[in-house]
Amino acid sequence: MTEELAHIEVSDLAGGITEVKVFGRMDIKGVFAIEDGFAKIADEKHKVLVNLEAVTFLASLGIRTLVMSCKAVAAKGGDLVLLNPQANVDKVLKSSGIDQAIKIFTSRDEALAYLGK
Amino acid sequence: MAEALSWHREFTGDMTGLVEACGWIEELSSGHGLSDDISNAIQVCFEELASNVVRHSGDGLWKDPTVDDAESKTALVLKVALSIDDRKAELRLEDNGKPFDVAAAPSHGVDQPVADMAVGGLGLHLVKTLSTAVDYRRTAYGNEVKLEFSRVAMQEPH
Repeated sequence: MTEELAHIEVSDLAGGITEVKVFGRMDIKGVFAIEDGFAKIADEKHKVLVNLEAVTFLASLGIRTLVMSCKAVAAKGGDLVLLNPQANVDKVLKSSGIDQAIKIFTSRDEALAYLGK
Repeated sequence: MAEALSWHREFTGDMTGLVEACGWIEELSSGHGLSDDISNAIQVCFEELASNVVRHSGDGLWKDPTVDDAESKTALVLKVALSIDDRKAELRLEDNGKPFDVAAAPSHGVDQPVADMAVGGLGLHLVKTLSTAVDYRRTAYGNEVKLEFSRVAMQEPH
């Protein structure tokens, strides 16, 4: 399987919201490629929208990256939410129970409204 | 009944071998008529189990004190097998690392607010949730874990 290595694109949106769009597979190889970027964002930002629509696979190390980032943002009083996971990624998130702790949105407008409140 | 398919291969128990093994499992599980759901479950479970072995068994391989076979236990090795038939896919992972009973190990989903959330045990919870059966046994070689993914229980047309 040849697929582009996971990477992230970061955009600063209105209202102090930072969008992190993730591309590719959040597997062991992919996580190594993006974890430093996630750690920096979690350290610096307070309102983080993680756009998962271009993530094609999520393994437990990927979940760990999301959880650790969320914990770091929450520890500063901020918020991190997830947007638009594909069906297989959504199943892994819900099987882990992560949706009980991190909000998952399917509407970008609703996600932005939640972070902007 | 369609012919059963099976593959097996060995990998070094390091990060290079792990990445290679994950790629091999991805290719096999995606290319032989399994549903996306089962293919995804196999890949998620394999990566969790194999990465646990590589990350936690690398320092000092388990040696049975009653067996004088130190020469044969000098490097961590992952033995991986996948078989697919009409009813199920079965993933088997053997390693010569220290004993670790995956089936009996504590696991948990997320049941706390994010600030209190513990990450450890989450991966094993996923393995137990996404597979239809988990079987562990300690063999003369080391650990053997078998995961079953029922094509019937997971409602896959075939």
